[in-house]
Amino acid sequence: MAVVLTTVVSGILLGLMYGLTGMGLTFTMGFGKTMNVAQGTLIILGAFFALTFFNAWHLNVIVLVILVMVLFGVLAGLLNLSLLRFLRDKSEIITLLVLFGVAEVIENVTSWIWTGNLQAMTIPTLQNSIQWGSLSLPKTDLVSAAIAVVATGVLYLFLQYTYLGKAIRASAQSDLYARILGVNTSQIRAIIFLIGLVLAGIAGVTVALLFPFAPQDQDQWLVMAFIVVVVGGIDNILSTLLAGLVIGVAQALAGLVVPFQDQNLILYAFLAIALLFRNNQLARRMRSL
Amino acid sequence: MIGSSAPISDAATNNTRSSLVMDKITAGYHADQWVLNGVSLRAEPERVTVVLGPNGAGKSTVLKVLYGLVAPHAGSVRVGDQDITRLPPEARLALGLAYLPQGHSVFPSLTVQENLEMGLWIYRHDRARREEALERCFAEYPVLKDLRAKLAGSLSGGQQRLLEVARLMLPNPTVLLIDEPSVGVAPNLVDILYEHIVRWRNQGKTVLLVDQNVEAAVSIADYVYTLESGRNRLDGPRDEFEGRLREVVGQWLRLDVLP
Ligand SMILES: Nc1ncnc2c1ncn2[C@@H]1O[C@H](COP(=O)(O)OP(=O)(O)OP(=O)(O)O)[C@@H](O)[C@H]1O
Ligand SMILES: [Mg+2]
Repeated sequence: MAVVLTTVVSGILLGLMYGLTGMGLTFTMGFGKTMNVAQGTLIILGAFFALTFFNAWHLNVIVLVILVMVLFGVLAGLLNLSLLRFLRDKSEIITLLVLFGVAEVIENVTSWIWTGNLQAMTIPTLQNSIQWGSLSLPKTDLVSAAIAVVATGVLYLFLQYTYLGKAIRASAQSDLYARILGVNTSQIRAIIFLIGLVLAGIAGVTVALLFPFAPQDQDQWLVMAFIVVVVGGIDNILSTLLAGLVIGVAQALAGLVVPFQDQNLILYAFLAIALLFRNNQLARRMRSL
Repeated sequence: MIGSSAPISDAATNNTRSSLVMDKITAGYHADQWVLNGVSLRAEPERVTVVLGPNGAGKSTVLKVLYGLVAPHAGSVRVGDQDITRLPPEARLALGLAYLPQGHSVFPSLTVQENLEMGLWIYRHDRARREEALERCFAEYPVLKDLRAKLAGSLSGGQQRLLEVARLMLPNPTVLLIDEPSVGVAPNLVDILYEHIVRWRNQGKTVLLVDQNVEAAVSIADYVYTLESGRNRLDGPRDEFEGRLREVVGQWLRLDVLP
């Protein structure tokens, strides 16, 4: 019994972090109508930033997160100014291709700077576990879950209660009607892209906290983000977090019975089931139009 | 921060009664396939100016050019003595223009209150003004106050139209561009909408109305323009126009059935 409890709790903690990796993708798809295929490479880039800053200055995790957020904000600004402003009135497929290109460039640059080797960020003060009754919770898991919850919570409150957040929701429903009310929707799209990137950066820090990583791991994290999005949908960021949690718990429980090397199958099974289910939902929605 | 580059003038206290002028506008959605071919018209303060024409004549496009949603190829748009041809919609809003598009334009998954707040986006840095405007709005439309926590998408069609009208008037515009207000609206509400339009006219606002409901629109019009295939056809004061109304509309009906 204790084993199951421990498994569920660590599944929850890991799952929250999975939810965070899907958050940026959900956000850019749901609010910006853009599938950011560079999400995986951006997450890995965030992990490398965290690793480098930690090794250089031994910063604490909160400072690491803030620093990575700032750098990703700058990166988003540069991409917005250089590439994306020319894509505003191009078709979605062209935007998708350009983002593929961006992903390719980022992956190559990360391999060039940090080599293709597997690396790990080891923060000495987070290497032990917190003992809670019969539960033993690794500090890294707790910290990354907390980052996921705080990031989602802040984003949710921002969308729900700030004027800019309301304008983002309004523009997502109708770009034209928002423009008619004086909202500069190309600025809104730039802001949505920036938030999506910053979320990828934060997710990268949690990847670095929990796993060893290498530039070519980007596919794996893009797939994870995609699975989270398919399970959670793109309408609500809270259901994205919940989707991550469900996946984390399922994966952890499956780990009790399925051999380690087959655990990824669980993820793909999830994707398949979710796609089936969502297809129905989509079909129903289209029929009701 | 957003759009602060737009010259924000004071639409609410700026009581200069502005006439709106469209001068020889050529415009369209694809280069060289012009929907408007040199259209000119003028809407005056304290007047309802109506634009009529058969389907596809370019009436809605006229309003989109006036509001900055379609950039013209040639010609100019002026409000008062200011050339606004190249200004984006947010700058036109700040100059006192407001546009009610064809069809339902509420944000269904925002609440009524949030929809209204979006109507005050150009005053996002002026909380006092926003609160005052919302208070005025709720005093005028008490129904909306009761519904304010509801999602706009859950309202009836009539309530949604009311919400759109309330949101349109929140920044206290002086020039109103209204596209097909009576399409898809229950008859009793249509009467209320026309009453509103007359009231706005009497308050000194400039009203430009595009309408399929020819008879009703002409009955509240001061001046009428007709468009055919993106060109000016006839125009004149209502009294002059009313006599030829049947003849002109009859022609359109015949035009519509031609292949
Ligand atoms: N977004 C668009 N893209 C391309 N063509 C358009 C677009 N909107 C309108 N058109 C074309 O421009 C022409 C004029 O359209 P417009 O909507 O201005 O006409 P209208 O007089 O308002 O017609 P209706 O009475 O049907 O509303 C039509 O031929 C229409 O097909
Ligand atoms: Mg029209």
